[in-house]
Amino acid sequence: MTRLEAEPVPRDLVDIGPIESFPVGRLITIEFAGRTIGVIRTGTGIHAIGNRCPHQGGPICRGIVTGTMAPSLPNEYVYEKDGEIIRCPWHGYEFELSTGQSVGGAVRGRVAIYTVEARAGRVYFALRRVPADSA
Amino acid sequence: MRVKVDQMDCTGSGMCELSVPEIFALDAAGLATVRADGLLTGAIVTVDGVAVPAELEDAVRAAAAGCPGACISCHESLWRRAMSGRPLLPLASTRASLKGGDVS
Repeated sequence: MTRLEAEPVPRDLVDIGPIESFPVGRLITIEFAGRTIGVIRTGTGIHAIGNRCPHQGGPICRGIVTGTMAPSLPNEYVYEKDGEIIRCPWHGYEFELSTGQSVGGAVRGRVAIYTVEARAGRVYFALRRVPADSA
Repeated sequence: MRVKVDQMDCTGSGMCELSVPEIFALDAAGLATVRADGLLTGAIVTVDGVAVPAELEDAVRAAAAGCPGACISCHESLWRRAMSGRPLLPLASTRASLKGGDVS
């Protein structure tokens, strides 16, 4: 008899809980290897970010998850990427949750993005940086 | 004194490179690294770090204190630190900023 085996989980991935414990749009912080990591599900996937703002090191995981105003014509207001942006509580700089890049390139550098995956109803995290070009 | 950068926490702001280009540089991935004999150490995190010339020690300490990612660590002999008159433990304000506390 042939039994279908689930895809093996890479060794460095750590189970951090059921996917139900990470509601869409709500950033959950975990402590991992002495670091505070923010894990959030969005409309585009699940992301894990570091807790330091590239501007002055603010605790960005305490910021609000929001969207941002896109460049537009005078008297036009375009709000986009709702739920895909986090705003640092210290100075209000905004960063994309998927890449860590600053919105509009306002700040040099990027928020650290780590590896996180959802598999078979569980969320797995690895303390491994996601390269900027593949984030 | 020896210094090292943990790229796991680096935000790539480039403040260290601006402050002490003789010691720090951003690598191809945009993350800070320490220069050793003119080469970039990249993601290699050595236990001991890279030796810092005496004339650059204060600048490196300032860069570590101002690093947004708090990913620069300096290691020095406690004996040498005591002889230099500096406090043996980081100041309370430095500790608070390293922990990512609120602005006060």
